[in-house]
Amino acid sequence: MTIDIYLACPEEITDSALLALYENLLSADEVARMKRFRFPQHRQQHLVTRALARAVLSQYADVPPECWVFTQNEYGRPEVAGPVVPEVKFNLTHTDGLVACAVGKAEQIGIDAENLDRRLAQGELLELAERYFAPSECAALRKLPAEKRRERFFAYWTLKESYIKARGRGISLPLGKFAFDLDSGDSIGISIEPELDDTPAGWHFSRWQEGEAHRLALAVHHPGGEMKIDKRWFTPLIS
Amino acid sequence: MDREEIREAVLAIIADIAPDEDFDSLKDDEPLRDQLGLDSMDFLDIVMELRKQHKVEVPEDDYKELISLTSTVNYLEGKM
Repeated sequence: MTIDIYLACPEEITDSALLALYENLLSADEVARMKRFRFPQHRQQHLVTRALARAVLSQYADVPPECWVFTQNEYGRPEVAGPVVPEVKFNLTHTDGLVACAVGKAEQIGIDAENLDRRLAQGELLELAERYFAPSECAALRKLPAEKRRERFFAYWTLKESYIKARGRGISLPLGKFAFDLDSGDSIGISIEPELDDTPAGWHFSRWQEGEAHRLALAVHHPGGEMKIDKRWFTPLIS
Repeated sequence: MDREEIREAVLAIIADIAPDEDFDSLKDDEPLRDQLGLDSMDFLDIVMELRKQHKVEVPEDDYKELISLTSTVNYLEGKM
């Protein structure tokens, strides 16, 4: 099973004619949502993310980018409502300087990207971890020297986000009820408490960095086989 | 706290998390996440600060109540 990852840098797409074309791809709802953002960088992120999803999905089905109809599940995850249900699943993420779309023939896919330089001081990161992460993750963080904690915090965070996004539940799924193990060799382990109605079987996880600032994680549920990842930079309507 | 005090307390927390924001044109009935570009980490930070500063515990099932400023004030009224 291969998961394709499409990456774009919204800040680098500055051609106003191209951005106008992106806006034409969007539904009235997507445009209305874009206009709610008060800051130009957030509007741009939203616009490029939605254009990316449309252009990418059109690589997997004979549907023009502007014809996709999206819905949201009850926790806000975008899903395809029509005009056809593609064979692939997809998931989107955005952060300052990066948007990404993961696509593949899997049962569930979640992706998360974060910018290491985002606001939040070291102390606050540990406080967030102590409040929300699993006890084993907090213990592993405390054991690390202070200069390595930020990196590890974002490793846990992106993996946790990717898992709850793949589950379709967002942060309504308690982050402390499942734990990632990053200290037992190269593989990424997960333990899940029974109340989350899930087991580690069939889950594949990966994490990597793009440039200096960005950390990404991918969670895919697909029984059997290995997971391969094929990444590429992609400019909607150009690539 | 009355509704206006709760509103100010919530805005004070958001101002700490997103110090560059200007709240004058914030629409109370529209989603905070969309208007301010807040993400999950910002949201959980707000929930943590509500607990630290005002001793209000918001369980995961109730996160959906904190969508807009108005719905947040409705939820917190009587709890703060």
